[in-house]
Amino acid sequence: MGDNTIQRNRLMYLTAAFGIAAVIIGLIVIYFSTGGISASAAIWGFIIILLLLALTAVKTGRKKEYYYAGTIIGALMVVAGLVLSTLTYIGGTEGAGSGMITGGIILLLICLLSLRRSPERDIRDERSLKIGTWAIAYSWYLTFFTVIVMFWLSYLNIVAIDVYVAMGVLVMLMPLSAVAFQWYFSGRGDVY
Amino acid sequence: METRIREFRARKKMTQAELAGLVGVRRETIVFLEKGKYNPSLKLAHDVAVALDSSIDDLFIFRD
Repeated sequence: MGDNTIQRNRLMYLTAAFGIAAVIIGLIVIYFSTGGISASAAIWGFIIILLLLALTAVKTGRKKEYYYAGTIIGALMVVAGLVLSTLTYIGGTEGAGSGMITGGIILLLICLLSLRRSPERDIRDERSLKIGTWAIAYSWYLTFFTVIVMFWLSYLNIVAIDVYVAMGVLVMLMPLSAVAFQWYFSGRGDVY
Repeated sequence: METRIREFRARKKMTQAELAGLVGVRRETIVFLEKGKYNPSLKLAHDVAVALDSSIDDLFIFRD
């Protein structure tokens, strides 16, 4: 295993550890501030921790068996989410079902796409690193520009943008635009 | 920038994948190198030259 792979894996473990710690701390804060944890908060915490663990295992293991297991877990999460959404008599779980479905779909997509890609895609050479870095930079600039536009549209009362719409746009725009820029530069051969 | 990588690679009867494996890059990087669409680092240019028993000057042609 090359140095780059070891470094990348360490970063993934660290990210997963921080993510799980953040979820646990969040649940503890909720518990002490509200005197209890709702079923919805508990399920959301479980979804996030499960996703982090599954994605870390899949991305660091990089074996077909891990991707198949991830696909099965993703499918089970989608089914569980659908069941949870229909069981309206379990109070306090509103939204958790859709969260479970979303998490399951994310895991399914990542594992299915990883199963399809060629082994060469796992090689991080100077070109792919350069393109990836620039794609993220361009994505940041585009997102920043979008924030500015949304601010002025809202400030001048041209368009009424509520905070959830704004956050949704930004959450979708940044990763999608990064992928789009990466695809564009990959097709051109270099960043110029 | 033009390159003679394909010509030198053909002389050694090497595929793009083999050359990519020798220098530790993706095959598509070699594809874009041969087309002159990717500016490699000095290290990569040197590694490719060594793999093809050539020199950077022979492989990469810059026209003003």
